[in-house]
Amino acid sequence: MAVAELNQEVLNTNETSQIQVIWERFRKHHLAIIGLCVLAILFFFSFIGTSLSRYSPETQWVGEMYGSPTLAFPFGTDELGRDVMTRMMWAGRVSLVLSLFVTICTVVIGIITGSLAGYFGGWTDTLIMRTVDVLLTLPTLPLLLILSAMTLRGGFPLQSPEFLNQFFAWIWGMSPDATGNVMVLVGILIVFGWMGLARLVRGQVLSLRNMEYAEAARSLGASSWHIIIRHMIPNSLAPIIVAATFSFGEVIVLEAALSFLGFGVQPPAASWGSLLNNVRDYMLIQPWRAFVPGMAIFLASISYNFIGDALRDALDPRLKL
Amino acid sequence: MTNFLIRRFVQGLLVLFVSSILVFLLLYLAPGGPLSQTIVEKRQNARFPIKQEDIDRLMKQYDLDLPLWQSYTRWAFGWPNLPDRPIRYGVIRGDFGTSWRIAPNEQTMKVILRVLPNTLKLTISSVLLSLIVGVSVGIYSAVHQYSKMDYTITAATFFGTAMPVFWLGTMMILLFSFKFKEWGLPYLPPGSVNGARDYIVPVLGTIQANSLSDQFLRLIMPTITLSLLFMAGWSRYTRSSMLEVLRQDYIRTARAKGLREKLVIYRHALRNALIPLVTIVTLNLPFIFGGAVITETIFNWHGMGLVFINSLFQSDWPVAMTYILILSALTVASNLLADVLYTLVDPRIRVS
Repeated sequence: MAVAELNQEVLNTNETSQIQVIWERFRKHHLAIIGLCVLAILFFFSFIGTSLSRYSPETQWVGEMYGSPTLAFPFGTDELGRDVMTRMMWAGRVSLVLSLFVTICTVVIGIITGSLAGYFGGWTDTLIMRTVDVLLTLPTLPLLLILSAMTLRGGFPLQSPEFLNQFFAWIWGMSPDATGNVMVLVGILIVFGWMGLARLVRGQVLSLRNMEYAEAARSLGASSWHIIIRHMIPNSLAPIIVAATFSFGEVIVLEAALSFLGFGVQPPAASWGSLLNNVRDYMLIQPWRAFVPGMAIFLASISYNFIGDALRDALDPRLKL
Repeated sequence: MTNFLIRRFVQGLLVLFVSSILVFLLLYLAPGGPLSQTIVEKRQNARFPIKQEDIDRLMKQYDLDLPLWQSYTRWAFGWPNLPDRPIRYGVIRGDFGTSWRIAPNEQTMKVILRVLPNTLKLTISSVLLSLIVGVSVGIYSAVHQYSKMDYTITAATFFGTAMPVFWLGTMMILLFSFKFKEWGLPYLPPGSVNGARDYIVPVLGTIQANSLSDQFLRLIMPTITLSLLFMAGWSRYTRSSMLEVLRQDYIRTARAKGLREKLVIYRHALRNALIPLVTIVTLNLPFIFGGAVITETIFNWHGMGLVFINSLFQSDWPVAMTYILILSALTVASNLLADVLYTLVDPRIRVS
């Protein structure tokens, strides 16, 4: 009787899927939920806001220069009489999409190089990891600065693929030329951004490759590629997702820092960082123009941080990064 | 142990060698060659247009007309010596080449080392501030784990790590320099290492330019800006390391002996908790120097970072390359130092 009752109980409880379990654990982090909302607002502001706005980012309102915030211009107007809020929206598209794209690319490169190094070992491992060592020895920010200083001034021999340029020109609402310049920056950020992930994935694969299921797959005659793609990568996905989430925030701040120093996104394109750079001369008469873009960068960065922290707990409670 | 350190040292030298090649190749990344900026500017000079022979002369002066490998070996090792060219001693013997634009024909190392004291002033005070605040905050939140204050501190460290420092610095100048001055509160001078003339600060009275108090007031905002990130990181680190140690048996023993809680925490726990922190602080040193680029630009702090930024704006590549090489060497050195310290500080670690 007792056994039957127990069975009944087990049968009646609904099976909770993995996603549900993760979501339940994620939900307990209130700051992460707030972070999700803030990010949603920032994305809404940048992508839907541009269609709701009555202005274009380039329209100059003659006689409305250096405007204070009013109902018509909520963040005022800049030195050329352009609506600052509309410019913030378009700049947000650049900042947010750039960090997404850069992180996705670095994650893909990191996964490929890291799993190759970890799985095959030997000279593949040595080659990849020594490259990582050397690249990590070079100081990130100064190196990115010198690279942009050299390449941004007069076009770069290597161009990004045409379809990418067109795609981003469409998203960012820019001329192909301006997009090409931003893509050089994107390329630099990718080339010097994948090392951390490669190390992470290599460590994961090293610990996973001798697990029983990998052994089992190998003894069943599975190829190395099959094991890497079907077993190694899916099983190291949790730390990768967490690291990627933190990386979104880092790239936003890094791009903004480069643009702030004058070596990132160049006019006529604008990102939140370059808006902050442009306002340096007018900071004292229009302090809010320095406050608003910086606040957007800060909010985006801290939201990604909160979400990453919650994901770390939700995806794998034992995980320590 | 010695073998391990020697191996690490040789590895470090190899890494430095490869990164010197990469840094040198950077020079050739500029579209149109390293001199393109100079040539374009000289072409625009209508009265004295640059001639091809001038370009050739410049190329020869900077060794840019040689084959790439020869150009590199002359720059790095001072070999081979060529007739009708100046003798190079090479990076290996401290000859980093000469500056092109910032201080023409002066050794780049000299240009950078001249402002080193300013950078050291900023970085050392930042390290001290981050250590003092980071460690004490970390201890507090470890001892009072899960208290309200602990949660507040954790949230604050998130703010610290996510804060874009360039924005924080700008906002601080706006608030503490300009708004405070407007409101008649004691304000902080907004930039530079030393003041040029005396100024009056409410409450504090007249501050003489270049006096000790002037220098101190000018140091406050850059130091806070630069140290925020490390404060946050190191306090997190101290907290988790403290929590780890407080769980150990010898802490329970110390408490069981009836030692006062203060003694347990400071004498027994803290000493052991700080061991891993030594490594982290050492490993972070190059990042503090690198981060100084932003801080020095915001506060017009005449240090290495600002010289680097100026060299980029003026396309003075040799100075920029020297700066990157110095930071790479610093990274390698701090990695090595961290290894040494780790084995020295923690007797449990034995490297075979």
